[in-house]
Amino acid sequence: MAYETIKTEPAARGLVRYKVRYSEYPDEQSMWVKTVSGASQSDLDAIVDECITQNNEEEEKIRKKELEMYMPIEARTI
Amino acid sequence: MATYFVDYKNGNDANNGTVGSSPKRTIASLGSSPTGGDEIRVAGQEPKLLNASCKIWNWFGDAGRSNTSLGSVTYSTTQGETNVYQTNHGLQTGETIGIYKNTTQINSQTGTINGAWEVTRNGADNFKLKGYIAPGTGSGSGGYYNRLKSRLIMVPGKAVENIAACGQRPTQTSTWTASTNVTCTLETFTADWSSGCTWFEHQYGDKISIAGGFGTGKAAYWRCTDSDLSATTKDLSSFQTVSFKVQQKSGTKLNSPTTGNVSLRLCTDTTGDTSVHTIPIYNGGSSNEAWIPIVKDFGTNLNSSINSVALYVDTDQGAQDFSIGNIIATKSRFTAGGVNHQTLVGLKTCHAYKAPYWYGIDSLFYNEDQNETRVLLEYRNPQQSYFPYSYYTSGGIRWAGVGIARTTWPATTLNMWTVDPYDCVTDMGRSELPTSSGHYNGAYFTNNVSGISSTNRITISGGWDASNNMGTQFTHGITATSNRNYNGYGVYFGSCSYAEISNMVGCHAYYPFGASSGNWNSWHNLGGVCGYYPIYLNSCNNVKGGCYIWGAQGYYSQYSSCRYWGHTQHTGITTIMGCTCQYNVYFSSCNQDFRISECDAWQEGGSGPNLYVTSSDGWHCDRIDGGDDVYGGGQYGLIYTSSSPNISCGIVTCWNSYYGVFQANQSHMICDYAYNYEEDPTRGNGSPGNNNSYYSSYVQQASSLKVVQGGTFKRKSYAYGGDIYLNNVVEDYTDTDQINNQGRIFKKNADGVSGAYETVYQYGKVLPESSIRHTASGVSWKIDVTNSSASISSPVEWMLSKIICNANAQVTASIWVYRDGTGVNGGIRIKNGAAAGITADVSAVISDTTINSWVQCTMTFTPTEAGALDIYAIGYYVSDQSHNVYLDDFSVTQA
Repeated sequence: MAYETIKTEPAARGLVRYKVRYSEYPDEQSMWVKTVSGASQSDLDAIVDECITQNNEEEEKIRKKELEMYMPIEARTI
Repeated sequence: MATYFVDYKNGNDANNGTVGSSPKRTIASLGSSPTGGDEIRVAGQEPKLLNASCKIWNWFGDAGRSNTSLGSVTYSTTQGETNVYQTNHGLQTGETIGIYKNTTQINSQTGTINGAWEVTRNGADNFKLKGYIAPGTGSGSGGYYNRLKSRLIMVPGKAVENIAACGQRPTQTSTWTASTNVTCTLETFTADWSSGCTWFEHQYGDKISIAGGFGTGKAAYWRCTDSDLSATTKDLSSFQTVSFKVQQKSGTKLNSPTTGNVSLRLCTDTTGDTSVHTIPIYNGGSSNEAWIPIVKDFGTNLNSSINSVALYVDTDQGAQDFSIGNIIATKSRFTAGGVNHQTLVGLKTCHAYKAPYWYGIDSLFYNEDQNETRVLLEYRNPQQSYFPYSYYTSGGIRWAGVGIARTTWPATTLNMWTVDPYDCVTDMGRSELPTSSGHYNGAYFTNNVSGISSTNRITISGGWDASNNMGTQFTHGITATSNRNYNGYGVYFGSCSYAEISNMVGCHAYYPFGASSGNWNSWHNLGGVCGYYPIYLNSCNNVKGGCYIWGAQGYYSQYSSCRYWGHTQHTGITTIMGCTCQYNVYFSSCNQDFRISECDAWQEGGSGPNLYVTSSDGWHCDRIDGGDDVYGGGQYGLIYTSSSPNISCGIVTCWNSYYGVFQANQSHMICDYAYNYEEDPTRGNGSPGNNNSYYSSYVQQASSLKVVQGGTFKRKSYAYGGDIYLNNVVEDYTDTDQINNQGRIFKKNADGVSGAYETVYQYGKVLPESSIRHTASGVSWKIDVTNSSASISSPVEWMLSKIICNANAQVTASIWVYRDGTGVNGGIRIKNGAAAGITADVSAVISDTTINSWVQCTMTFTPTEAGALDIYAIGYYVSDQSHNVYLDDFSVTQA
């Protein structure tokens, strides 16, 4: 996905924090990522995509785990 | 002061046990004679060299559990030429994999590539299966493979000879030949989430079902085959021992070799009629799922012309159902180079290098093609026989500190040692295998052998050399015992207090090493392996003189209701280690000043954590080290705490763990330093290809984690409703922390930058700002909103102040607000119900379109009762997250 960098801040060890908007108004969402100075938008997009995927996976896992919490261990899938 | 001598194998209870040449056989027979100041020496085993050039593949992370989808297969009828195309597979020649769930049928025949294979690397994208002969040509795909290098030792040469029920069978229907009233099947099992697997070495168990009307005699036989799958004669004359495993799902199980039931026989003819070696099978007390090791050392060379093996019913027990696996010949027990299914293997490093483990063996296989013997180690509690390559297996076993690099390639060669534990029946004289969790007097140390006081203690140690009347102790010697059927206690200390206990290992039991109510003891070089509770210490209080205990290959290594371990200045160094269990080290109700020095916990199997601390208020460990517990498992990370409101740690270091530190259920942990490391997960470099680590810390509702001094996180934190406090923690990751359920992360010296502060909320963060401020001193608070869910009704907020108010007098509160665009707004708020008389939220925010200028925002309210009221700072989204809002100079007055 092509996102938009809306803020930058200096970070430790010569890196830069980028605030990347990945969802538009009215459901606007953004996240801060940290990488080298001068990173291309496509590099930032890749970091954001990976993070979104992981966050979604984790939330799905938590949802599934809570659903299966009371199942016997043999019946669980997580 | 007296010295007593015990020899489980060659002692005699008729002896008085006071001289080394005439030892007792059981501890119990010493009666109440031993007392404070006395010593009990127990004869033990000298570790024997298996081979000086054993190969261990370097690895880390999740090698044992994580699977890879199998690529396309091109079958060849030429042995070892079947090729698998797998992009960037990362396998090296000689490495071992386990293939499963492949369903390809070649030329309508039944050959399958499922099973354990060594591979030949054929470039970066192809590998071949050593030894495999396809029944036809063609291609196929499907299924998975796991790398097995995480629990593997390759021994040069022929340490064992495959006799039967090993490796590839000629076809998938190549069963044993059954007699009348007997049915033979080649039984597989593909439920990779389940226990009770019907095979363990290579895809099949050889199942022999004996009907009720069979009677006695030869039930079934197998004509021996060679690695090329043709019939062959086995020359076993360089071996003295036969070893295999048996699983019995139904029918009578007998406990003793003397009572007779069935026997496995090695025969010189081709149809199982002319038996020359008979191995009685007794497996009483075992679960229907467990594969029980059966080992018989004939003490002389085996026959040089074995053509078949057969199962005989010696006494009619009605219908019975056996599965037999991995029948091999090997050298005598207790000799160099000998290795069987009851043998333990290890590095003989004892206290050194944090690698004290002796591991149990899952299977043994001689690979003729590369002239090496594959020793696969157990991967969890063997009693349950979980599918060998699954979520519920561990990531592997743990080698530490002996020069094995934590790199993905290549292999390391080193000395590997063996110990043959004393079998509870054949060596120790127990009349039958245990049928319950009860102890056995032969290895039961009771209060009869306690000391008298904390300064007048008794010494009990294993590993003494019986050949010189126990005048010396073997270097790194231990006394190891095996219950064989994973039932009962192995070595057990009951109410044995004021004792210095050392150098004992229990294995193949429900409680391999157990102790209860043992107070003021030291515990050194003690281990448990292959059991439900490899270590089980209950109500053992007031350690004096330290401990060094390890447990492996089980379900729980549990320490429950152990207290006051930090109660005395004489406690000493206390080290507890665990690996390859679902809960490697499990502390329950270890409170009331429970303090240990070190805890190593690695290679959790299944959904448990490496280190579990529950209901243990006040628990403390100076150093926690562990991990290798990653994708697909490790749901709870290196350390999982629950219902433990006050726990602490000096340094916690986590390697390759899905979660690092995991806090839940009202647990609050404080550690001085926290480190989280991730090693190369790249498949092409030999790892499974999944990330090794996802979260450095994970904190659930009503729980918290505080890192007080500093550390390094290679992965982000996840505040799932809980609070995380980080001081001087370097954030060596690119993406952003994850927050749900109103969790919060408070960072001081954020990202290792002195003086940097940051508070992260679910929908934004707050930082101090010195360039944009209302008063030219100090800082303002800069609010950065990251989600449109941070609306005026659910803003980013934090409690700014508590104000003490009188009743029935108007309060005026104000704050200066600045914003650089109308996309965000902020101010202060008092919430509905903060005090009587406040019946709705009252807020003070910028009410017009002012930007780039400070605005004083004021709110008034009148409580009708006196009390302390919470004033919140708020910031929220309007239309654009590229804007910022700043707050400064809060003031409040009451009329």
